[in-house]
Amino acid sequence: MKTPYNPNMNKIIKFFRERPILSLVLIFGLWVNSLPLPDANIGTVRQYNPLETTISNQKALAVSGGDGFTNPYSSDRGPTPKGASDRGEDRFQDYHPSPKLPSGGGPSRNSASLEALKNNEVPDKKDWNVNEWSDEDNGQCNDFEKSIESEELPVPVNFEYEKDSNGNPSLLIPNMDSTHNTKGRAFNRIEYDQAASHLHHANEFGIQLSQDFDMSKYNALPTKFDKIQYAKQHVSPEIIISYQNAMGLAMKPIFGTEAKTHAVRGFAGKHKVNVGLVIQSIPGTDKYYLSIINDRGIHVSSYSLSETKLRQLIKNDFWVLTKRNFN
Amino acid sequence: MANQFNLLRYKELLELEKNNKITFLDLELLTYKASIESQICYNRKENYFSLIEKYLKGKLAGHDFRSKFLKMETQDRKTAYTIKQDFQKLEAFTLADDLEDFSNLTIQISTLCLEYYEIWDGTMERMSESEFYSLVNKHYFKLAKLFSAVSTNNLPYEKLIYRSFKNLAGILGLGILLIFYNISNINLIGF
Repeated sequence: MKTPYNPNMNKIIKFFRERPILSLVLIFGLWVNSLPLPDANIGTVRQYNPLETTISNQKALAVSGGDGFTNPYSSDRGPTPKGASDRGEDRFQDYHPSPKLPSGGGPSRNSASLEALKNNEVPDKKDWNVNEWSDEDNGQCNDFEKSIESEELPVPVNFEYEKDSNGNPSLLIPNMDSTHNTKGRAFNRIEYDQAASHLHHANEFGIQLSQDFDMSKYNALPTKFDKIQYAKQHVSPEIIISYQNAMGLAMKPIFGTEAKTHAVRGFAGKHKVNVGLVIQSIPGTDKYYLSIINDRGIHVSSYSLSETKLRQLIKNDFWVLTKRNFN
Repeated sequence: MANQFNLLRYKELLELEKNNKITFLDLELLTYKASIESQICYNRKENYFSLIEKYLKGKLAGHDFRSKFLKMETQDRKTAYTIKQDFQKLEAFTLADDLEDFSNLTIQISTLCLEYYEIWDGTMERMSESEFYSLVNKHYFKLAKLFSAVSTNNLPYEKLIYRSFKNLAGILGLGILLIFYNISNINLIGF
């Protein structure tokens, strides 16, 4: 008859009896190993878990194609494939509103002088017809592949704009920092999607969000793509465009008011990436608007600062997002 | 010990700003303005410490802590704004000696709260809750060290000592149990 008693038990008991200290150490080791890892309450620093950010980033990359934008070529990921839209990010670096080249005309404008101009040649003086060199064609400039749209937006804006591949406007804000910028960019861009992912600052610009917009839910969303999707579902385009416009006004001098605006060069992130900063005092308050513009002229964020935070910013040599990491 | 607010110099700087001799980014002027706001926060530092402790003890969720901290700051900013308009009040306004230390550390926490939700694009890592916690904990540890009288307890060390005692008691208990077990086995087997 098979005994239920494990024959190895004798060996274990013998081991315990002969080597009690070693047994204790072994049991203690097993017990310690089974304990949960120390958490943040022990000591002063809970170690940063890289897995958490990696997962959220991977999700963002998988869902949005890199940066939460629906356009796959919206962020700097090498040269843009031929024929694909780059949303005009770099096309405006050397853009000046005037003078403009003649736009492509219909049959009535297809003269010899116009053809020569189109080919970037100087036409014969006998063919000159100054009237047809007008850069207006039905109120629209086509010099930049219809980059500046003339159609009306749902709400009036104070700036020129162009539409992205989704038909949303990107406002073109005159670059205050053009003299210090190596690229000599004329405009900075406030993109619709970037504004939609920064609605947590909308109230600071006097923008009222709709009743069904849940800020805590929005803030808890893990990726930029999720925030854009939520914003598009719960906020009307009029509000987002108004928010873009309000942020644009915080990035340019407003004449005839007491608001004062300064552009400075600054840094962002742990590794001090170069950025442009625009700081504007808000009349009648003790607050200031800070706008961050990346090196490609894309507006990143705008929010209000108190005097204590502005002082700290100046003391830190205009270093923002000091604890954040860029890949 | 407290320092008197230098109203005379503050007025001079305001005049210089008005005449465009200095900009609003002038550090001295900003220091005067910011000191009023910092002092208002300092006056109720117990509330700030209590809020941070609640968060560190896990009684308050991260997003609640961030919004409450920034809300408290906004309230203090509003109070400071009314004082700044009233030169009579400023004449009697005093600044604490250790105001700068307090202000530097609370601004760090406040900036963390403010910048937590910032998203750049695909190139910036999102800040995790654990990273945020550790940074707040780090700044609070310094604050608690500076203002030990105000801080209700030193949370990290309190927990560390408690856990150490718990571990020690566990080890001793296990050791005693093992000894009893060995003795009973010896008796049973008949060695």
